[in-house]
Amino acid sequence: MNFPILSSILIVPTLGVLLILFCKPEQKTAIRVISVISTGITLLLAIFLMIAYDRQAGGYQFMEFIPWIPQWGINYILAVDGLSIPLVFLNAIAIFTGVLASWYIEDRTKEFYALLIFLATGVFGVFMTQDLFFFAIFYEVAVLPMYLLIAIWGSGKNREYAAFKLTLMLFFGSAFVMGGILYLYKAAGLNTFNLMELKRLAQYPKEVQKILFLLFFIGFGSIVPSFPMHTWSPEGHACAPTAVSMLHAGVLMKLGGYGLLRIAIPLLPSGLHDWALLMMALSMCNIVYGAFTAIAQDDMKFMVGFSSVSHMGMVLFGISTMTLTGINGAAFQMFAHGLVTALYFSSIGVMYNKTHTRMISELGGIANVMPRAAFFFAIAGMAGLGLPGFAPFVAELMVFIAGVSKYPIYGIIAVISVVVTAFYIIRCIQRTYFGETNPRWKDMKDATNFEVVPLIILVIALFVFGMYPRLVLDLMQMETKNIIAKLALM
Amino acid sequence: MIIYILPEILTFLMAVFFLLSAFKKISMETLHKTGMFFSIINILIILFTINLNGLFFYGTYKIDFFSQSIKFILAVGLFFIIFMADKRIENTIKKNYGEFLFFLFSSNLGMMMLSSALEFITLFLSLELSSYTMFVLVGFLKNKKISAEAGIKYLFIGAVASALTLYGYSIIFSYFGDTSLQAMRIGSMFMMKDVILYIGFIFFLTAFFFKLAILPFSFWAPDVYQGASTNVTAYIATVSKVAGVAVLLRIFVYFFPIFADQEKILILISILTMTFGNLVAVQQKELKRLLAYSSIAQAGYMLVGLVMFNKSGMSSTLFYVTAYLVMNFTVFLVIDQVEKEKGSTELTALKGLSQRAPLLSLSLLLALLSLGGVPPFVGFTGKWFIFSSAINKGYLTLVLIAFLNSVISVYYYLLVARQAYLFMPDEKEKMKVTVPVRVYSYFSIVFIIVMGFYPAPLLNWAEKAIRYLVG
Amino acid sequence: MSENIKLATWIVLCPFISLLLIGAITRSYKKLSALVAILAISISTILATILYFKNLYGLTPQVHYFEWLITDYFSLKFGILVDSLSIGMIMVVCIVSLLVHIYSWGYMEGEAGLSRYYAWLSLFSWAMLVFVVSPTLLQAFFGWELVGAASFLLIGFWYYKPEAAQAARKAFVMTRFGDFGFFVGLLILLVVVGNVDFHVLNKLGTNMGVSPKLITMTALFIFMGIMGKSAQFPLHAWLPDAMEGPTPVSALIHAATMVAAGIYLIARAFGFFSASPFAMEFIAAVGILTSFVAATIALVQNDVKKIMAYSTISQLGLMVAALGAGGYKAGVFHLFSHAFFKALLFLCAGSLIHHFHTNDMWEMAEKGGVRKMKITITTLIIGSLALAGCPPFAGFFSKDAILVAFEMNGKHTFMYITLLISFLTTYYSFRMIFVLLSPEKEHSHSHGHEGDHHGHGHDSPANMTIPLIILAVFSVLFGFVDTPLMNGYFDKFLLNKHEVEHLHWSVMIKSFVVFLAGISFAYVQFAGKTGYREGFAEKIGWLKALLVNKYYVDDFYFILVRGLVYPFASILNWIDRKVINDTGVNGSGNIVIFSGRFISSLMNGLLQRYLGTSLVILFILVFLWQLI
Repeated sequence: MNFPILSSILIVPTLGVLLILFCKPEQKTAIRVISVISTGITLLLAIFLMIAYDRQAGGYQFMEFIPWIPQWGINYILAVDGLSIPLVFLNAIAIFTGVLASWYIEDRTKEFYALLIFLATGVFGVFMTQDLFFFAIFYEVAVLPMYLLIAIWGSGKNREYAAFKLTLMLFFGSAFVMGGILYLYKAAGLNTFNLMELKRLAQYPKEVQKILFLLFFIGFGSIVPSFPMHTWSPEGHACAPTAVSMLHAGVLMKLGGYGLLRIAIPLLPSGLHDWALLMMALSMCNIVYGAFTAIAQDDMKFMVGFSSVSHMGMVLFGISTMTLTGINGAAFQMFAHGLVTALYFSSIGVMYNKTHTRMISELGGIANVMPRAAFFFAIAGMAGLGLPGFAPFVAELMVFIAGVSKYPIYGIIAVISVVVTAFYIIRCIQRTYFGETNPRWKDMKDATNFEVVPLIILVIALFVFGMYPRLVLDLMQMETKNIIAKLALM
Repeated sequence: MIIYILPEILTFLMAVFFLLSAFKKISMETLHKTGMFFSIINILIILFTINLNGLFFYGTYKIDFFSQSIKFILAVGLFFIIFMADKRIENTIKKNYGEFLFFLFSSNLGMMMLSSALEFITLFLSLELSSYTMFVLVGFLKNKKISAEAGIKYLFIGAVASALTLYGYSIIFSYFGDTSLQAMRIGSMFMMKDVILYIGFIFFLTAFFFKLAILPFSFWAPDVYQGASTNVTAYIATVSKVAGVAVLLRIFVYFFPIFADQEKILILISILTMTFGNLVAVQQKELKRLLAYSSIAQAGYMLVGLVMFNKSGMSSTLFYVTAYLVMNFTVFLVIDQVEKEKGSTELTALKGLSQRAPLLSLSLLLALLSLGGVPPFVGFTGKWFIFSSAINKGYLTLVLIAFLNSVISVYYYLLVARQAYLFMPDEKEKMKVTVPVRVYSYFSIVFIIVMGFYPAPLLNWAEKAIRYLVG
Repeated sequence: MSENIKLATWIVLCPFISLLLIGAITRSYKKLSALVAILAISISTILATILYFKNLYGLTPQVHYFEWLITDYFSLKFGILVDSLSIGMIMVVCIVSLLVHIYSWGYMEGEAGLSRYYAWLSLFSWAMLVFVVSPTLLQAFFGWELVGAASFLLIGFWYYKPEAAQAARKAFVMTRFGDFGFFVGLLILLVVVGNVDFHVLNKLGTNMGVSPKLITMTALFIFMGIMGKSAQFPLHAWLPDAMEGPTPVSALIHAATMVAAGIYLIARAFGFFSASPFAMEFIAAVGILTSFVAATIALVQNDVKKIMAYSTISQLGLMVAALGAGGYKAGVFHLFSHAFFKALLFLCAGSLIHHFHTNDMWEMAEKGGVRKMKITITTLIIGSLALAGCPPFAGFFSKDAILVAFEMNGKHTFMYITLLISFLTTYYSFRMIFVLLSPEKEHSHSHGHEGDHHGHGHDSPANMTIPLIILAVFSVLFGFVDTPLMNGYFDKFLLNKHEVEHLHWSVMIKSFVVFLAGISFAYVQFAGKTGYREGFAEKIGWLKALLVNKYYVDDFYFILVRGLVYPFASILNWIDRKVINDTGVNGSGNIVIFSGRFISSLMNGLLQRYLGTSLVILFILVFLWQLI
């Protein structure tokens, strides 16, 4: 057996967590260094994965298979394909930059890093496992530490409420996912949770698919988040500490879209046909409603939160078109949006650490005192509003092409969000960063070189994947083609 | 033959030893050490007999892998409970420690017999033995009003449940004319489905439902949990649950055809139980009351596995109850530690625990999340098995309700964890945690995580036990 | 890859490399950054000149594609298109950009954010060139959006000025609103045709089997983007505000190149637009309306840059109208010549502003000394003459071409309106000139000696005046390329047409007469006096109110945003908070909590209640046992 690279991606951060747990709380530098090293190695492994993946052969690679509980059809299977590699990579970037961005945390550093990395490990697991039992385990591992991370290190009076809301709504969703997974297992009658086997062999009757897809849609939809299950997200973003917001919006929300693409759609194609219109309608709400609501926000993180609602709506919209372009767009949007929001939150975080407010009405002229922070927020904003040259443009382009081709009127309505997004982003830049500096902020220091490192990494990633999207798109396409083939069979 | 029932005999002798010790002035510490020693002996002896097989006392008493496994868990549980007590225990217990241990051992003896009983009278007697000793234990803190009140309530409700069981059994007896479960098992396969018989059976179940705190007979739980000494509460919440599940497993296996007909109503009971427990638990401000309601809800989950009437359901329930023993005991251990220090079992007593005792607090957190069915902990895995056996019979709605219930339970478990993690403690100094408690904490953390990820060993064992039970 | 393509590729890449260099390395060394940027654009300009002279008499279009996005369903390409139009535009962009780069060296001297300034200039040049060489509508959109962003960044260069910040925002959002249309049009074409190469689009009307309705619809959608970017009524309102940016930026972006992108796009996709007569009519109408509206507003402006901004809008309107009327050559010709003289005008204005530290022409006249800035004022007059269409300056010939185009295409009304606009243009240009040339008051000299060295007569530094001179030369001579004097060179280059067009004397005479009328009218009202004087438009009360308030377009937008967008957003936010969150999410949580509270209130600790409830439930179950 070859070097178990996927297991290492799980084990390295886990070891990091263990090491951190054995540190004394006072050894903060050691804890940080351990975090950086373990996530750094993981990032390297993820990059290696991207390079080493055989693009000619496609399909699942780096497979690791260990029988786990044979009588229940549970196996430890790790494997990655074109769909998961970019997301693994995204997660590796997000956690690495997240660790760097939370250098400032002095309060209970040890627990913070342990939880943060633990969370990321769960996300890695979700993206890599091909066994539904392990999927279920990792899926909730990714959600669980959120509660503590937000409630302890978060900001704002509402943080506990936000943490509870987030946790409970996500668990609410995952209840449906769990039920759905179990029913998938039962209805296939193959006594296996092996996703690859199920994809190959399972036949689900139409009525079953209809019910099951709805379950998955509710479950994954609430983490995407689909309207009207979205309210955990802006509040969660707003109250979470920087790194958590980054991971949360950057990666965690992608679990929903990933789950749909990985499990629900390939296994239940006719279910998607049954519910596509509902999905489209809800995603329209996400896109347009989210964008307009963002205008009314005063808290910058809330604004970004609603913009996430709007942009993640595009993932659902892309999926609901049931076309290759749409699904490619959806997959790419997950990737691109992850990078953008990570950049948003880290740049806001850099500013917030100094000003301790994110209220647009209280800020103003920040660019005079913190030009770097302003610059990176502006880049994030430009990327977020779909400026060509950055990754989200590609995703939005594809989603909109598919949207207009499948649902012309709704597609055009969705494009309106492009204007609205520009409106609130530019408004925020103007009010927050431009203009005369409020005397309150006269003495603020700009971001240090060190603080800028994660931001630069994200900007480079955004730009590279925006200029040459085929780096990940070609990978994703290998899998999305299969999905489309399944959909076409219906 | 002696060797087969050696554990029971030994337990009996130990109980007698402690009863006699009450006449002499022996210090609590000595008794405590003896108790620990005895319970370890007990565990070893049971391990020694674990693979024995046999039918004794004219077919009324069965020794097999299942019964011995249950006894093993019971003995381990007993060890935990004794180990939990230390010199900071309530004075009443401290003064009468010999008596206390006597009741514990007797109760344990009753439960051990319960897991082997294959005949109705034996079953009933061992049930009463375990119950009555517990009534006393609950009211043990005789100078505390709340404890005495709890004892009385427990006694009354238990008595009513037993009476109903007897009544139910008398109906059943009138159909079969035999008290041997084996005979009834055969008989029930050819039985006419008769309304009166069914009523007999549902009455018959009451005492067992009482033991597990399943719905119509679960109202005692909060008062008793709160009133009794934490050691006793832990005993009721962990060990006696195992005995309850064991005996229900046996009953359901032996009366399979009759109960299987009424699967739906049993499922209804389980849904009601878990929903009731979870909804009310959300309200609680007192830890032990909260855990009482949570244990009601947990009993609901267990019942789901039990009433699937298939091997997978039963083995997953056995798996779950074993895991439950560890998780729940961990929670009680922490509560006990905190109570001893602060003299309070309010939720707020846990405030800042993560800063004062990180290890305890971590084990508490993991145990709570595990109880709430959050992966990758053993509680999730156990529920996963139970629910997948339910879904194998097509009960999708049931499973969804159960999962949603566990969402509610996550809420109140987090309310507890929140106290430990979100707030800074009022006191500066670290909490004193003894070495055994530390060791146990490590054990529970490892157990909860490893069994969550890699449940195969425990599951294989549970499946083996169930194979023996079904025969 | 042919030579031409290679050259064009490097022309495009140079500013981009400069952007990267400034961003990565030289950002903390101001002068170095400026040098890098100037060097890069010089190389581009040299290469562009080589490219131009290699293809002195036009060429057949050459395209090279790079795959960008591929799916099974479609593939999107990037590419380089070299043909006469793009070479011409590359030349214009490079020359103006180079001159602006050099000019800025003087104008922006001592500015703290100089590196940033040059980085954005490079970004703009790159984006503009990407747009110009694009062989597909998608790439055009790509560049189109990027120039918008660069424009945003440069308008907001002095971000600490609230007006600048506001103007940048307005510019971006308003053009973005137009881009919504462009994007929708692009999407529809991508979906329906699948291939948005210009050569395909241009043949769409003839042989592709696409319904005319669809072409009209998409053409109008795309024109919406053009209305935004090329400041056509009513999406023009951002351009005057954009004058808050540094003046060289206004010259480059908001006069010569970016705002001309819309015109270029129409020219580039001329076949496509022509396929829909209705769209063409619409375009022409919008163009002429814009031109007229802007020209009238310019009558009452006092800010030199605002006057030029409105004149830019007005000229852009003319170009759009010309193209809409089918005058392909006229539109492109005017685009090129306008680029030179309008850039010149703006840079002159910059020179004045640099000198006087004010934008207001009355204040400049007050301070005096304009006459002593010989180069500036001379080139300013040359530029104004070119703008006004005085023979033989560039504007005369290019405007002539437009008039001819209207006449040839039977749009006589348009021609007369254009003459009227020409009259207004001459009038407001020379209103400005005459005001600036006001005789100096006596005390203004002493004022100058008292320490305001700006009052003292000297001109701007050489790095500012040399670009002025170069542009002035262009403004004087460029017009001749389309005359028999040069054998109708422009036709040969652009259209590959070999017969030489004769001059349209009747049109020329009309236009010259209008010019004379305009200049004399201005002379009568403004020349040779001191102090504030009112023109004819300001003497009519209602007209003045209408014009000063810019036809109330800004107020309309204000009401739209304040009265519609914000309230709508607030309502949605209220729904989100109150209905979805508080009622839906918290409500369902509360249901759990309240039902729990209700049930636990039943459990009051009394034994009899417990037992009673137990038994009741038991009997209900027994009953159900029968039922189920």
